[in-house]
Amino acid sequence: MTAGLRTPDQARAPASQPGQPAPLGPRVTRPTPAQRASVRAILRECVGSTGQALCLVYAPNRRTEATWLGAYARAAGVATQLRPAATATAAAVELACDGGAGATVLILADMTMRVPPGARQLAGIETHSAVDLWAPAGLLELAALAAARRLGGSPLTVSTSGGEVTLATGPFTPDTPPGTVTADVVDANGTFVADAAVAVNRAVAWDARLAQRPVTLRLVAGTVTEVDCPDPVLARFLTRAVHTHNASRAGSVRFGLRRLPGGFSPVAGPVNAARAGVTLRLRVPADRPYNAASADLRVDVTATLQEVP
Amino acid sequence: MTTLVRSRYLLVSPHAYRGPDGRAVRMAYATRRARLFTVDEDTAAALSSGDLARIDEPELTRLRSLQAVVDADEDELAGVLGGYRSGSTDPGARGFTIMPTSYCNMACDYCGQEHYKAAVDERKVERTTARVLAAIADPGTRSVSVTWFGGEPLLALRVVRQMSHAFVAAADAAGKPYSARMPTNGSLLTARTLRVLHDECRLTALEVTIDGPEKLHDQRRVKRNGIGSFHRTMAVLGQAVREGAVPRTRISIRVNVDVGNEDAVDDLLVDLACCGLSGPTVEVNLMPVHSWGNDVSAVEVEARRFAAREIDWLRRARLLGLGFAAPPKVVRRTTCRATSTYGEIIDSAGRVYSCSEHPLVPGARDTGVVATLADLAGSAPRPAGSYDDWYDQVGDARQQCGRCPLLPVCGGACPKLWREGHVPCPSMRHNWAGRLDLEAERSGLRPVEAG
Repeated sequence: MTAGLRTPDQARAPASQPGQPAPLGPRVTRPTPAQRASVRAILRECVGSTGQALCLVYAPNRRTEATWLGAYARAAGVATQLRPAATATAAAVELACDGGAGATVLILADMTMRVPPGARQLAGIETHSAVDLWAPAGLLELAALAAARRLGGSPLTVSTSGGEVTLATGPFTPDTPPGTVTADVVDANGTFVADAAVAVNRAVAWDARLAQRPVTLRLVAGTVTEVDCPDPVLARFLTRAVHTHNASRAGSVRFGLRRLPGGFSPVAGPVNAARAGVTLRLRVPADRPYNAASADLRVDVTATLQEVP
Repeated sequence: MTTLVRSRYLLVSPHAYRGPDGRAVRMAYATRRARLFTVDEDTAAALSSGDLARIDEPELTRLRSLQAVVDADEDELAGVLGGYRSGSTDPGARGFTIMPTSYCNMACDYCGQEHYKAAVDERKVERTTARVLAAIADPGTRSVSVTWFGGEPLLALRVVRQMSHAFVAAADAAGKPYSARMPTNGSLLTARTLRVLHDECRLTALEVTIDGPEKLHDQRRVKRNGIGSFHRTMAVLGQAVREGAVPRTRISIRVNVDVGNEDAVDDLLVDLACCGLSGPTVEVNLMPVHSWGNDVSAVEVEARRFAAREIDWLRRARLLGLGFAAPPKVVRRTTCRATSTYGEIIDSAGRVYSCSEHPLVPGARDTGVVATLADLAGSAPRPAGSYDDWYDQVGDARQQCGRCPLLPVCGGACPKLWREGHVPCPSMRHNWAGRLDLEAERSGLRPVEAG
């Protein structure tokens, strides 16, 4: 169905400078040639020849991309519904996803959220949209398989700015978001300095970037024994998450493999996870939950990586 | 020609912010309309100096529609009190606070109630039910709200369910809106109880008190059997919020703050975040411990100090993803149950009060009774209580609330405490500028100093 997708604006678009989006209305701009190519490729990969209707759920800041995808999909004869979320929060986007069953659901939102089964999230950052950052799933899968082979098994020594940690891990495997590989951590000793980003599986609203407030973790036998951070709010949260709620176990290590434009995003989301970096995931051991409601607490701290594996 | 002046009920932030378009603005709060809005720097300066001629016509029209500027000869206090009087004498909005039990399974130091065990008296339950049903059936009634109060209302869950079934069915049959809320210590909550309250009792708001991290909470909120309730309450609420099990019930986490736990509020906020108590249906509500007629002067946090610390707590709560109430967006219609004879409190013995801080409180539990259920015919409003003349007192300056710019959204907070010589002002009286800063941050504005 998507073969020979027509571009709805091809015929009527005024000429714009190459690479420069032309205004299309008060907020929506026209796509650049590269963005048009990505939009077509996204639709081919996600909608393909399923014959299914398309449901485009989008956060308010992703209206432009949703408009592009919707216009191209309709031009290709795909029944398309656009669903804006009320606010750019995970809860609002999740709410807007309700009732999308029976259609191919594409979610344009930058933050980490619960993606309904079968749906696909396209995330961007403040300076680049999901359309700009998109890459075919097949290519990312190949890159991840190659990285997993190169990383092999343990032990692994990870040097971060101001620290070094030695990890005993299981085998690395491709993970989600696409463009990442993950392994279980069996043992971890040393100092890990996260200077890139933090992500928590809770609805925190702080700036996820750590460049100005790096987090230092000291690990002994796979467990965090000390936490340090110059930001008092983050320091208190991490200290309590580790020492009271027992999210102290280095559960897994993840490598982000993608060289992407822009820096780490203030919004914790799939782009930060996939961007070149190494992430330690802290979790609560199953036999040591503090409270049933915090037993699934996970804290991901990411350090920048100069060379992707 | 009409002369316009700045409303006495307008607050303009002392701080400037920058919006996405780079323009410098100030937050403003017009309490007569309960509206938050922004004004540009020139308008803010004109409002501050009183030189409204500097404001252009379209902006002046907007400010007038918000009652941020008013006619110079308008008696604004009279207008505000007129609104309260009309809201308080409106027979269409009926409010009942029902105490299904006089007992509580906790014995908190700062509580002013004296609890006692008593068997459920089915006749009294029937009379209470009949009283509310009569109000629902009254053709003059437009809506009914019920607050389940205690003691600990969940100790009488069976009674709450029984009455709720009758109220919900009658309201549905009459096509009248029905809402219910419940303050609770939370110790008896289970996933099933929450669903019952949500599905059957149509609870729209649940207020659970958590006074600190585990150790402190379990010390302060002492169950009579000595067993702590922190873990159980947090687990049940956290699970329910994350599963979206009670989507139509707003959950408020009330923290009673005094000198004994003020330094632990930050840790509690982290615990709430770690337990997943964030999201659009949850709010943190920090409240200073206040007198119920008992002496709490040794433990209460001085009002200005509380207000200053509250801004820091709320700012951290926001970063942790926790919700908290914005400045009111609705003008109050009446101050409390005690200022409208269409609102009443019914205790488990069938006594009717006008003020919720009278039942179970030594002394007031006898002197505050305005009627018994047996005295009241059908849906007739309760007799006047001690505070039904509240607006007269504010109007003739016997109480200082008439001078306060928050009067339209506060109503004077608690007439009882004013009469007893306390100052029950909400913290916003002292930290309104900080609250406006928080709202500016919430809407994506940045302080001008930050560039």
